[in-house]
Amino acid sequence: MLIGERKFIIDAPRQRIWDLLLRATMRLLPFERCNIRSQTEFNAILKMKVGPVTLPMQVEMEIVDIVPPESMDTMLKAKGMGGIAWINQKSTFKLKAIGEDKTEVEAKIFAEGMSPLLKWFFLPMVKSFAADSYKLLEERLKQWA
Amino acid sequence: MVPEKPYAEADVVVVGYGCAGGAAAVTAHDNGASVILLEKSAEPTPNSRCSAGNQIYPKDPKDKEKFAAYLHAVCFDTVEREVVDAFVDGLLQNPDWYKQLGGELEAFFFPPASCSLYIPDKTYSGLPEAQGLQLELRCLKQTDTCPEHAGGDRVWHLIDRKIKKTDIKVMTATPAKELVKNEKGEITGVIASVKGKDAYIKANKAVIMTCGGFEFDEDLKRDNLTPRPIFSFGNPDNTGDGIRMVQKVGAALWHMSKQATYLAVKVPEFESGFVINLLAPGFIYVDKHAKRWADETHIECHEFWVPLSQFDIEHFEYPRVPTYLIFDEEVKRIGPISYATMGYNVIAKKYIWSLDNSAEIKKGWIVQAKSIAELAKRLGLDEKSLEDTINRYNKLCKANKDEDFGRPREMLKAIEGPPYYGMKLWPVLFNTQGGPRRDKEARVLDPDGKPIPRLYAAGEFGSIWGFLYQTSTNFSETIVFGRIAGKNAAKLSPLGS
Repeated sequence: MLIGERKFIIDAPRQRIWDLLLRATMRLLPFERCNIRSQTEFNAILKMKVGPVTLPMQVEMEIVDIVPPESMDTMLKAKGMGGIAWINQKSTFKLKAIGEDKTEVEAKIFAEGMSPLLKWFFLPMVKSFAADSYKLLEERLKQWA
Repeated sequence: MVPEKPYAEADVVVVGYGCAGGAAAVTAHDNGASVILLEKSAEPTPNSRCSAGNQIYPKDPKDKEKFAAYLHAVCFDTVEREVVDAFVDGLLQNPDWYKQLGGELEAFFFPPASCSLYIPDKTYSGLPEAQGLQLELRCLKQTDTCPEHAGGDRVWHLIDRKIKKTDIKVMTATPAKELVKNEKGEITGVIASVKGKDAYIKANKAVIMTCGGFEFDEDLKRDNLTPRPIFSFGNPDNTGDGIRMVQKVGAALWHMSKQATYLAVKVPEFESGFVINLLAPGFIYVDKHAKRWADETHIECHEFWVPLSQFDIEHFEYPRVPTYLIFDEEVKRIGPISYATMGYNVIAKKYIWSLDNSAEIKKGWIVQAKSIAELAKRLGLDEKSLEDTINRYNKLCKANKDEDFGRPREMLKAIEGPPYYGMKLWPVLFNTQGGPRRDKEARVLDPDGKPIPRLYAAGEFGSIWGFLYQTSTNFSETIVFGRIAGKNAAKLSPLGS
């Protein structure tokens, strides 16, 4: 299920955006207590704001596919509230060079599985969280580029 | 004087069980030699095992010549081109060697979102020889057969598993003390301490010295390295014994003043330092006078010794030693500020740094303060200077431009508090480079450039890298020259034949 997407163009070469992308995605969410397990995996605590509620979630994030400087796919598994709330989501990032000085960024999040609690009661808020995150990603990349 | 009766003998005696020694032993064995592998430590934890284990490759193997020219330029005439060529040849053969052992290399992306460990693939991109050259870091892939977390540890265990399947005799807790030379000037073995008694370990073909650096030899460090003091992230048994051994049999030394040095936390409870790894950008480094001194995010992490060695002649001090790390709550909370998979304290001592740094705050390793003034006072810094420095840095962050040191925009983040955090950081050696001069055959040379018969060296012990350091060449070198030494030693005719 697609839960968020955003496409935007930045006035910077693709390599520069690529160099910023991993850093930007890592800092998109307020991770705490990150335990870096390998070059592509870490787990952490994420205090996910879903509407008025802050859910501390245990997160495992893995870069599942990386093709510099074109694309990166990440898999994020989050669970909280004693396992009642959980979501497995895949994020895809595609960078397309437009000439030498512009880059199109296409980001999508797919929920590959979700607990009934999130699906039935919090789905709009999860989508809103995803939309806010991507807006922030665009702002950060534009500011840094 | 050659002792009459050996305690043990083999064709090849390897001194030091790191990745270089392991590669030498395996290769000598695979070329038909019997091998004894001596190790000083009871549990081998060499620096190669403590390291990230990354290896550098030209992206396109056709760039072999270009890569060799670049590396030779980085060495700035401190090593012969033919030695660099031998390194590059061996490097390109390493993947097949790993495959024989059951391992596989993969591209390495270093490391997720670190703001302090700066490791570009191509360290010296401004060199003319670097133009058009594309490099790639690789590491041994983590698999079911190579499960260890740290790259260097993973490689060492891969080699160790192979050694355990052979008849190579590994003697741990057996420090070598002296090389034995016969009347013809040939090296015939070593005197080692076996259970506290001197014993002659005879080498019928050759001795290969792979006994590491001098990170824990205060005299050698004082005479050769700057700045001072300088600690190590690695094995405290690296006390330079091998250097004195080869000097006594007439070896020439080289690259003694060269090093790969980063920043670390050094606490009295541990002999080795904890290398730092900051996952968020709300931090700065300041010197003894509470002044920033660099773009903290773009100092190549093996070359910290260069800026730290700046000496203030007027005040007769290294003003950046120690350097003080000042950071904010986000840095504290996002993850451990010490690298979790690397270093002697992690690999040998099994220390696990707390994920939110709270345990280290409790221990007093990290200072937590309610104000900048309190932080300065507790760190022993001038309060006004530290306040001025943080205010200035925060102002630059707000303007999104570091006019002082050019720190990039994505790395600019104001230090927000309270609370504020700080700690002392010290120069810490990943490794020293100095030791006996060697040639492309891994033979140890005398001051006239002549090989000392039947004596070889590999790895950090007299590394070929003699000026600045291209990332991930030390680890590559352990395997390349370990293999070269092992192969050449095994080829020799036995003594007296």
